[in-house]
Amino acid sequence: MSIAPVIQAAELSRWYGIVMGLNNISFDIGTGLTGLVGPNGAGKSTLIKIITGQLRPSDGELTVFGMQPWNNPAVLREIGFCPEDDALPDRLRARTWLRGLAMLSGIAPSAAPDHVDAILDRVKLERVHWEKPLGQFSKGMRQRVKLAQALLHHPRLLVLDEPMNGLDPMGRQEVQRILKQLAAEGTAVLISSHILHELEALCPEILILNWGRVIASGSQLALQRRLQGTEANLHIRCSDPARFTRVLFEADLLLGFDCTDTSGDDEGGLDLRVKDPQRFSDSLVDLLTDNDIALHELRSRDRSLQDIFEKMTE
Amino acid sequence: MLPTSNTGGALRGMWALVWAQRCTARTFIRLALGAGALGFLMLLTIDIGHKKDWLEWVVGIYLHFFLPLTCLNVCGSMMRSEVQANTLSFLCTRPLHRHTLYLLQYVCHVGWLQLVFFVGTLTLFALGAVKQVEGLGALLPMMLLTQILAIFAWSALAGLLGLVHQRFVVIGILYWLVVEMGLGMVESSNINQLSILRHVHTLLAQNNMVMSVMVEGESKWAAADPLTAGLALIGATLFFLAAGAALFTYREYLPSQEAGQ
Repeated sequence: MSIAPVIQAAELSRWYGIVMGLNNISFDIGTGLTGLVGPNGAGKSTLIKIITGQLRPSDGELTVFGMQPWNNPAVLREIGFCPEDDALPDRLRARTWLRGLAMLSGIAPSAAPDHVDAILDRVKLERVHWEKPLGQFSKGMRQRVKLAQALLHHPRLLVLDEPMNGLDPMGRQEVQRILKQLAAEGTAVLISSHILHELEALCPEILILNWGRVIASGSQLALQRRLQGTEANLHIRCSDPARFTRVLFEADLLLGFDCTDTSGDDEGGLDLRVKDPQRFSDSLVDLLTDNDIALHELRSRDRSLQDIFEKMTE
Repeated sequence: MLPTSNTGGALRGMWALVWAQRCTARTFIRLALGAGALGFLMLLTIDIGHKKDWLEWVVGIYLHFFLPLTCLNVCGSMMRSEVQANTLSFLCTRPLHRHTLYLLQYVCHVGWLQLVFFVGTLTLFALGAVKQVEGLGALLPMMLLTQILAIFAWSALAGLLGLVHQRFVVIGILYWLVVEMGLGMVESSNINQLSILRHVHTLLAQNNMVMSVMVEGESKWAAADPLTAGLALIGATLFFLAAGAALFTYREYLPSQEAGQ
């Protein structure tokens, strides 16, 4: 039995007058963490606004949990949205604002105060700030409050537009931890961000947009493989590099190599271009043990999300 | 599992937000200064026991000018200010129909206006008492009823104008000049029935003091059926509210579109 996608777009288009925001795109997004990547003007914000029911498609269809989000409380009950913009009602106190939004989200007035306090604790906003007007908050604190309002009604889909903006490194780590935890609890999380290395670490699934079109979607691993074909780039350090390269050539696994440590040390590093990554990983242990070679380090030099993004948007 | 609530809970949530935004020291200082200035001018210009002077303040300034303009400012901006401040997404992504959201905003802002004008009217009557104007006790209930209906109608119209265009204040003033002060004062045809002020006059004219001063006096208000006037104000409220709710349901509001309008 296949799991129904959380977000499904079919031939979705959106125009702003004569300007094309999204151009006939189709994709599925499932549970877990998905990164939404694209240069400015790629259509990320338009897509997010359609997903969160703030805009309607001009053509085609987008469904969230099988339903269209525009003016649909049944879907909006399942969606939490953290916008990119820094705008907040500055005169209101954090607690007052969140309590009002909690009640608007369907949480009983009697339960709202305790619930809001728990959410503020979860996003690690210090208690001393809870009764301060939002206008006095730093950018990092505002990000935390925006995240808190998105979590108020325990959404099954969380949509975050640049959630790391303005956060210090510890704050970023904390938000990443919360998002991973939510994903582990079954919440689908869609994150749009320009900080690609953070998305890379956070999101196994990626959707890349450019000029209003989906140019790639799927797991990072699959995208890497698609870009690289059937080869893999590795860096290794072993007890006998010369012998190891000879063994790999004989096994028809090596396309090329480069010595990265020219100090004359026998245990130098090698950059390898391996022909068949799957066969290489299957036979690596046997090759090492049969030839009495000790392996000290093995890591991938393959493309990062930044590389994938640059290649795809060229 | 969190305890959930229905629209009543959402109304409390919206009320909490509107109340917190409206009940600020700055707002109260503005209101107090406005009331103080108005009271001072009234005390200066009303002769002791002079009903006409007092009524001209209450009807000519307060009901004709202050009340519609305040409704226009408060309810016209209830959605528009959220769009301009880019905070509408926090409301629109709540699990509520868009028309429900609009009506909740309307109810909460009108609730605030009713409170403010209730206090304002009591202040006017207190000043009238200071100036020894007779018949205030008999007029007060009709004044409050008329004012309540007028606030509902003006606010519904203002909410609609706020959704139509960001320059809703200009449109509202043009409407006031053309329809209320223009068509509303045409006596020879029924076109004056379009005017909200016309029906406000009709309701107030049920009071003897108003009748003697404004209908039989120089103002030449027409005596008409008060039930029709009351129903007309309620009908106008419902019409403007339905139009606003429909517009907000079908139209997208984005801050980026504000400059292009």
